[in-house]
Amino acid sequence: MIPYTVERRADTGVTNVTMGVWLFLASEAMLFGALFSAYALLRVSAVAWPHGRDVLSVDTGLINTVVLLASTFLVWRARVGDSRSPARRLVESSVLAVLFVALKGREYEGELARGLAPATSTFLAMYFTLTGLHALHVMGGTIANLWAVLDARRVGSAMTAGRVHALSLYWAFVDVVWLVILALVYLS
Amino acid sequence: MVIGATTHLLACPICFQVEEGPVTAGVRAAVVVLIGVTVGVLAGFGVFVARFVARSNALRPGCEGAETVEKRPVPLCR
Repeated sequence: MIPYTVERRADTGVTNVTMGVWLFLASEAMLFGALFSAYALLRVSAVAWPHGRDVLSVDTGLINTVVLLASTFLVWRARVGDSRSPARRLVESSVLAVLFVALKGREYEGELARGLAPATSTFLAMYFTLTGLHALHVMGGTIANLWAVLDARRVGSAMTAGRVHALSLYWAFVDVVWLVILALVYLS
Repeated sequence: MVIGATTHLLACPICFQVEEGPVTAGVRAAVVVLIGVTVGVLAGFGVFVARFVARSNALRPGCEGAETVEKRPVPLCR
């Protein structure tokens, strides 16, 4: 068994779970950072660049923002502990995350029906790349949520609390990335 | 010769020596964004490492207050 998954290491001050998720988030920051850098390159060098609010559905984007923030809020409630069990909060959060992906799918469907495919323009290529990769992260977080719930009885409450802590950090990161995408792609 | 005349020997493969233009501006913006992200991530690592060093020093045998380091995140001695 990997040591320090529950108790904190004296030298680092954190558990190995927390350390691992921070390192993972650092690599994720570099991944999305590279994509935002590509976005800056393409946008600034483009002769013409459409306004996202003219091409995309801003309303759907804002609704999805509320859904995603609510989902993360529930994970954080599970982390701090309240009257309901953490497992229930994680399931509620997962439902909202699935709703986010479903809304995103409907949005893609509408855009493709209007002929707005990734090959249509560089703007749309960046839009589908950024939002698609972000949606994959939402799906991954949902799977991790459900895994933490289903495995809670086997590993015990202390280990589950560590996993919920890691999940809360992950979902906060996913939210920050989405807010940057919203500002850059939808609202500008 | 390479050291003394680098700019004359190496043409930029992005802008092809056109110093002002949309492509050059785009590359500059991309570099600024990537540097910003990289500096942010490295700063996070720096904070982590500094914290480890402080805690490691506080845990050394003979360090006053070492036994309470778990309760106090600030370094107790260096």
